[in-house]
Amino acid sequence: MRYADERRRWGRISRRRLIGTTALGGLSAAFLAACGGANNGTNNTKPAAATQTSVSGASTPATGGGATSAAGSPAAASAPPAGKPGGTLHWNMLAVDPTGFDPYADFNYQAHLTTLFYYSRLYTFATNADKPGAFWDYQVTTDTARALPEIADDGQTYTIKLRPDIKWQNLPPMNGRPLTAADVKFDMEFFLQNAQSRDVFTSVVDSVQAPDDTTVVIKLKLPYVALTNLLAAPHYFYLLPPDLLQKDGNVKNTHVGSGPFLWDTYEPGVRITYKKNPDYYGKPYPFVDASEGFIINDPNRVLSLFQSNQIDFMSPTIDQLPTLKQTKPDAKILEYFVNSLSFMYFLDAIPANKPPFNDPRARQAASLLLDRDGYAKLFFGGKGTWDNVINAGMGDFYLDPKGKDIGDTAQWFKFDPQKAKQLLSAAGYNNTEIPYHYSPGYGKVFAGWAEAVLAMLKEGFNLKAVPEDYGAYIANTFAGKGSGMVFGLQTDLTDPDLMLGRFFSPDNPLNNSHVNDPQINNLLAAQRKEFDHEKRKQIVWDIQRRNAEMMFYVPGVKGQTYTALQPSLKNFQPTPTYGFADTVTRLWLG
Amino acid sequence: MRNYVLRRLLLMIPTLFGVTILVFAMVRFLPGDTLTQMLGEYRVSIKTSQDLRHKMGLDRPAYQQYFSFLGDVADGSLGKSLRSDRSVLFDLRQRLPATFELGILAILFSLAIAIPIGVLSALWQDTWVDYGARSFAILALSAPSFWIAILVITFPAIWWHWSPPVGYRHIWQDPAKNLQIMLLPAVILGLVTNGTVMRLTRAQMLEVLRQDYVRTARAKGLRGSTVIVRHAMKNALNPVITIVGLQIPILIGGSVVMESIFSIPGMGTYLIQAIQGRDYPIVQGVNLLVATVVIVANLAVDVSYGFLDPRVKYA
Repeated sequence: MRYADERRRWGRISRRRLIGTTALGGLSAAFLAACGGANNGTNNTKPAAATQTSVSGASTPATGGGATSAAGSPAAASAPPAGKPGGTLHWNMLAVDPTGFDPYADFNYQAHLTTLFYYSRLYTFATNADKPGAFWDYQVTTDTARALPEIADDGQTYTIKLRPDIKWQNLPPMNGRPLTAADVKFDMEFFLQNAQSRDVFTSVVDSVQAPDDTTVVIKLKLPYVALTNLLAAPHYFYLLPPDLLQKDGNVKNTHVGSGPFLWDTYEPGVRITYKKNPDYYGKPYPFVDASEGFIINDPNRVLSLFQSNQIDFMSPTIDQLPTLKQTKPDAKILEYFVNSLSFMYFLDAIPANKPPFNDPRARQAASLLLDRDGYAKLFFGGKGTWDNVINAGMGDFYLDPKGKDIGDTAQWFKFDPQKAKQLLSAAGYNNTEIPYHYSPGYGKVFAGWAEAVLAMLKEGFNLKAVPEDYGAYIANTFAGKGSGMVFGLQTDLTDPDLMLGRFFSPDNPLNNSHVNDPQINNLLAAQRKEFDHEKRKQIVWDIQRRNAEMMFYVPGVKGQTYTALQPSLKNFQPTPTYGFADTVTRLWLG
Repeated sequence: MRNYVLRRLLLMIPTLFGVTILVFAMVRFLPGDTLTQMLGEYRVSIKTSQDLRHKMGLDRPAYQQYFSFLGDVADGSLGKSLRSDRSVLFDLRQRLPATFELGILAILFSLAIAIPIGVLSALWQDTWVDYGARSFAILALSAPSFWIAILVITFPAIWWHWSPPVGYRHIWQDPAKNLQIMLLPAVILGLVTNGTVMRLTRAQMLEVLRQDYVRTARAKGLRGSTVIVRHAMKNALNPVITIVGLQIPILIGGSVVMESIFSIPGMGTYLIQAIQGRDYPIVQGVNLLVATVVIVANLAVDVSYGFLDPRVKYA
């Protein structure tokens, strides 16, 4: 399975790598429409089309009434999809054992990935099989909700209508009873009190109400545009059985949800299996009768299992690709761009006002020394995409450093060693030795990237390579401690607010360069409450331009990832992030 | 003998006590702690982070954490995983059978191959049999087991589209599938000790075969096989048993690699995951267990001398 494989590709086990590079893709087909049930047409609510867009910027017009329809939404597809039911899917689900199965108590990708098979959410991200090769984006679609939320004009009230036919799985203590708005209210309140990942919600959510069985109203403390996206992201809010939360305070040892699969077995270090939920509301999904996900840590082992037809798909490393193509010519290989960001940051330049990187000219010089096209040619066969501080997968929120909209700041992305040296001279850089941190713990592929960047930067800087164990990197360098510059990665966060907040909010612990720029701070606050997509996009672009000018973070280049499918595997629809259950729900075995 | 064993058992206590201090300290010298590894680059507020650290007990002074660890050792639970909250002992019970099985199969394979070859090599000293056997031993000693394992995984899959089956089953659940999965890693792991045992067997046999009592046995007109099996091998194999005992730590180390490559849910993969996640109780518990096994194995080897060689007396 690609999450595990992707992680392997970069080496050690970290959710960040996993998420960052394994997102299966979500080049969503058009976010089709019919978001309309949410919009009652009254004047005190914003139509969903105007207020909710996919993060890629595609508008989601309200059509009024009926279920939300979006590509990949099992619950809402307009025509029943054709697929062959039956069979057991075999795949490499994880590289390491999950630490637990409580998505609120275990803030890690293993818990989320494994529990998404049997828990539902209000929203999810659309899957898509139609546009391989592009980035996966984050188009929100419905799960148990009937439509995208109605958002009041003040931007502080989200009204969510639930599908009326959702039932808990027919297992004790839920025993197939209907899932109601009261359950959602209980879950959200429990989440806000207890979940490890609650912080991003507690900062905006004020209260939750359930005026009737199918209506949930979320009131916010302040206008916030990204809530729908957060509800779709697999890191946060799940629909857990309230009866069990009330009884046990957690769901660590129980596995009853309302999702497409029923929990079956977990054998540590071996496998996690699920069975089809016959009462799933999104019929005819899932097609497969069962899923057997293996826990395998060695990439060679995974490749050999695919070659010997023991697993149905895998995510080969770039190194494995030629062998795979040669030995399994019948395998279908999908290629996607990853959404994680590679970037440089500066540890003590801003907080300690330490030269040379306290001077924007030195940071600009670092960017000018980076030969992005050469890097893409070296590592990605020339297909790499220039990063900005927003994922290219975020559609038109992404400001292409090569595009015209970047304006004058495009000059700071161009490879120009001569100009870099002039800037360094003007900044008074005296060839002082500077530590250059990176973590080979991300794997040999990443280490190769970091060392190539190091070689480029040495044209202008006197750098001392500081390779770090992943643990040390995360505990110290990634936390912004220490001195010098760093080449690192950031996972594919799903909304511009999450990504920009992570980079620039002064109070965000992930702001590794310790940026506290009044101009950006104002723009950050403005985009959070801007519900007009076009206007928000302009603000997000302004932030990217401001960063390009100041180079608080120096964006790098991103490349591709791959998935190899057995010929018998049909309708494989990649999903963004690790909401992999959506992909398994839709595929079938031919 | 009884006093000797008792004394050795008593000596285990300070040794294991020292081990607890070492493993407790060393795992904490690793950069980062459980929480930083768990959260990675994800955002939680400082308060949430502090709450989690408090819940995990990571905010307590080191000496308190150490005494908690000793308490967990004393009550036999070995503590609870900081990440999964499961008892380390519970997890080990699930993991140990695979590791023990792998180790035992590896030793059996090693002895089954190395001793006959060692003996034959000694009997046909300086012949092509001897040269071949010695070359094999050198190869087994010098080729890293992980490299052999990767070759074994890679090439059959390319050539014949075959790979050992995935999805471990305990031997009592499905003996056939279990052996299909375990055989290759056991053979590869056995190669590690194979070379050592073979070379030692050969050397010991060469020495014993030159002893007067062997010459006497032959002079008495005993059959060659009787001389070799009953007189020569019995004495030659005492040091071999020592070596096998001393190979146990190497086997445990090798099993970590084999389990990882062949997806065997043993103690090795458990330990690797715990180290990567800085799950202190697991790392401490597994290391303490390994140390105990090694100490007990050494004691067993020492005690076995008395049974194998009546000349050995314990002071």
